[in-house]
Amino acid sequence: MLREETMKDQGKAEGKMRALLARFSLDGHDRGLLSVMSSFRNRGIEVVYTYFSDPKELAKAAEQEDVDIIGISSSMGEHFYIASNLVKVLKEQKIEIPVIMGGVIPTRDIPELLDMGIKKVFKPGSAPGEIVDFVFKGERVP
Amino acid sequence: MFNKEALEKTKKMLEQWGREVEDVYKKKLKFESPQYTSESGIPLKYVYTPDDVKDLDVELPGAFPYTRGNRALGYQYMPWMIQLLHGYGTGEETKERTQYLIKEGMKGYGEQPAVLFAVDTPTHCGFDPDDERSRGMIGLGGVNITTLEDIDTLLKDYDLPNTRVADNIRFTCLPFLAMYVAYAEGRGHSPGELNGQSQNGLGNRCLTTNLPSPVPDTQYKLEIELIKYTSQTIKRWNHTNLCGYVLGEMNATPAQELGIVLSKAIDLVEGGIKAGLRPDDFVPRFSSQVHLGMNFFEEIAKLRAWRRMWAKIMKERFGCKDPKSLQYRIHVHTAGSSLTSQQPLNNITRSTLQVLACVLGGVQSMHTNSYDEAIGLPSEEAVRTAIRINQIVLHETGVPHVTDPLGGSYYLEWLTDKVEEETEKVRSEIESRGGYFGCIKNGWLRQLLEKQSIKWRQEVDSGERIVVGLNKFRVEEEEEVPAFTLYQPEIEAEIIKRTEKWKKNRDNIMVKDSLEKVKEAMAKFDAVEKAGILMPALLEAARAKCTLGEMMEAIVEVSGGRIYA
Repeated sequence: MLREETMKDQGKAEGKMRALLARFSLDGHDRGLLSVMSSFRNRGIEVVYTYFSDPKELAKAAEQEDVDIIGISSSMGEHFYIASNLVKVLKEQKIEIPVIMGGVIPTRDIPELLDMGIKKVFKPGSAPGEIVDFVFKGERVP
Repeated sequence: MFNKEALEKTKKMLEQWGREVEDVYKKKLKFESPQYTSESGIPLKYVYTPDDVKDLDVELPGAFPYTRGNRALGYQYMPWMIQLLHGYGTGEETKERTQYLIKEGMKGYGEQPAVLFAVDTPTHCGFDPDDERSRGMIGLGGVNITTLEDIDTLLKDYDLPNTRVADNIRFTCLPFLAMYVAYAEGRGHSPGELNGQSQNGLGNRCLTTNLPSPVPDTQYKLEIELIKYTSQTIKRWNHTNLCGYVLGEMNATPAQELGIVLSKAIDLVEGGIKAGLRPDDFVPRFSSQVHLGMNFFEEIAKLRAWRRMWAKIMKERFGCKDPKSLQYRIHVHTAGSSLTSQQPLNNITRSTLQVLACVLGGVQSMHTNSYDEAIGLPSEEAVRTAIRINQIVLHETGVPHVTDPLGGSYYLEWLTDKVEEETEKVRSEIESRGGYFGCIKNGWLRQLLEKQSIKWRQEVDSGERIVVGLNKFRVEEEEEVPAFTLYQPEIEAEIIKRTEKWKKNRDNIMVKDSLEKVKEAMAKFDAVEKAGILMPALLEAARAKCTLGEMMEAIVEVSGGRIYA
């Protein structure tokens, strides 16, 4: 499921941050993700981009790729489904990687997503730069 | 168009004008004049004169090359169709919205109701609800269609021969059409009585909405198969929506959008010919979904260039003689990507300008976005307002009283020619790289579109491109627009239950046999020349109560599986 271009860089470069950016296979809205991806790379963050249909696959990819953060894009209303399932799987497998979300997510749903354990939800129109800043602020779990 | 005298006079006046700009603005006022370019990269002057259109031909609406309109009379005879794409959850919920829209003014040509419905992504891709791959996505973004019963829920109250049924399906157009025909047969109608349209844009959708799709060769064959079947059997069916919308949503420029769509049309007409059809037998039934962005005059120029280039290609390249083959009917979808979630009421202004551009450009039909579409599914109030924009332009402004009111404008005529030139560059580059489907296969088109989307974002981030409310004129406290949402898990559980029940209560031996026949037909369908081989098997499968997903699975299983763009 991983895009080929991102599979090439296997090992993580020394001192570099690495992010897993992902969306549901059946939510094809990837324009925002493309911009975020380009912005991450321009600021020196390595990006692995993947599609998934089962949150378990995603958790596995995050662990294998040794990423510092997982970014999920959701634009069709599947945010609760993804968040609840992903957080559950990560907890079960004791994977401590922060998850952030973006896309088309109604503001009123944000508190519930944060309660579930999502670190931050970016609203539509957030500049990719803001997201990079957030990642760099060191919200990493040690 | 202009006599020598007029051109001489123009030249003199222009010299005078140029001196004034130079002496007063640049020297005295130290004004650094900006260089504007259109979205397609066409450098603009500050003023246009007869000199810019001296080669302009006299043209009237209703005559080749139809720049000014397809018919002698435009909106005086018939207003544009107000059609709104909609759909969510179950058929019952979608039908409720359809009825609301019709009550508020949505209609097709004449008084015929139009059921233009969006489907969820499992339906687009052909994954049944009980398939694990559909989990979490059922009923989102559109209605789920899996069985004949789902079609019945949506359409049972309509008189089918007098209803325009238009699905917005991405990859499963052919299985859906087979199901719709089987459903109509069950209600006593022959396919020939039906009317509506298919999207039939598998390649396009694979490019732009990056979902699991059949491989390019299969995309092409399935599109030609649908064209062949409908042009021989359902004459009133618009077989293919030449959709530029999704390209525009990835920030293709107007010239790129038109260039890509024309390339696609050329591949399809060539494929139709290979499949044994005469262009005049199917070209009139191409339909369209044009993207209408914020660059006001360039968008109007694009609509005019679109009709002209279409007419020329169909006449000169394919020898079409039927005027209907030469008259490109335009349905527009206003640009969703131009909307902001910040200060969402501003989106009403954006949509209004876009609707005005459409009317000035002479389109046949329009979907107008609701102001809350950057936030979630549109509310009833928001879709009503979108319809009202159309009704205000139609009844209050007087704009539709005169056809092609900007025809003859020095600027717009010049810009129409330039958009045509830029479009031709894009089109010929695609042709030289292997044509439309070739450029999906080799990744060139996807790369182009990815670059365009990233470029837009960078321009917004750097402030080079201003989007009001997004990167300028922001407010501290954003007003909350109530987002319309639905409780998905309940809907998903209900739809899975229905599917399981359907699969239990049918003759599963017949199902299996008919799916085998679909696979056999698809396996033999090794070139577009053999189009016509698949649809009979799909019709049998639909009559045997196979689901949409089962039919699609049978097709992709023997034709290269699924890919991402």
